Amino acid sequence: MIIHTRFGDWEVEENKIITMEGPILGFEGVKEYVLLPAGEGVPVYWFQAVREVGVVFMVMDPLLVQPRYAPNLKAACERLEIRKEEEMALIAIVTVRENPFSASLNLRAPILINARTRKGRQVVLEEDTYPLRYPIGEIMGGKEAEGILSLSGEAVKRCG
Amino acid sequence: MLILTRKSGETIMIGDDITVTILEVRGNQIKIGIEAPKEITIHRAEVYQMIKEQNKAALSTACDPASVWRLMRRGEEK
Repeated sequence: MIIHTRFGDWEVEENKIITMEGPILGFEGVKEYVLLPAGEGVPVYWFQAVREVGVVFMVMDPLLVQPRYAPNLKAACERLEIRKEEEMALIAIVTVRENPFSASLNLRAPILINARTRKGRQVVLEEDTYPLRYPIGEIMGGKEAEGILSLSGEAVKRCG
Repeated sequence: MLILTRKSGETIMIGDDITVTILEVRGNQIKIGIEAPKEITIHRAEVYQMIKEQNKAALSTACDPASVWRLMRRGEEK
């Protein structure tokens, strides 16, 4: 199917759609998303609503920014029926500020997705160990988790 | 707003699959146990509000991803 975005139209297979079983808070009515690569060689993705062009979040693997990030996701994994580590895809939403330019990552409420069933939820962590605005200013290197790569896999940009 | 008075250990039903139980009352703190189907999300109101606002802020600022990447790479070069 064709997904219209601010960055042009994308051809995405219907079986790549991610259904939010628990909403992105504030976007309760928007349930279907796709994960699109935001740029070649850049480990940043667009979490784009399938039908609402304007609903799009910049997301990335939180471990690339904070390798020690280890939130307790046990209950959320159970709810999403994530049984193996390979089934788990965890992404965090980036917030960008202009003037002066800065970016932060929401480590308090990451998005957890079961890569097998393609069901996800925004998990609100009970403990306040991880901040809502973790400054992105350095990268520790490393590779993105396989789960994330498998979710965006075959999205192809058509034009724009 | 519906207002009900309950004692410790008593329960309220919301619809036929949500229960709210008063577990403990101590001073001005009340411990509540909630059981609900998994598609129902339950949050402390102030936390919910905070995350919702952050999500909205993230939405309005979707920008060039390469600029975020450059910001991260700068740390690497140090």
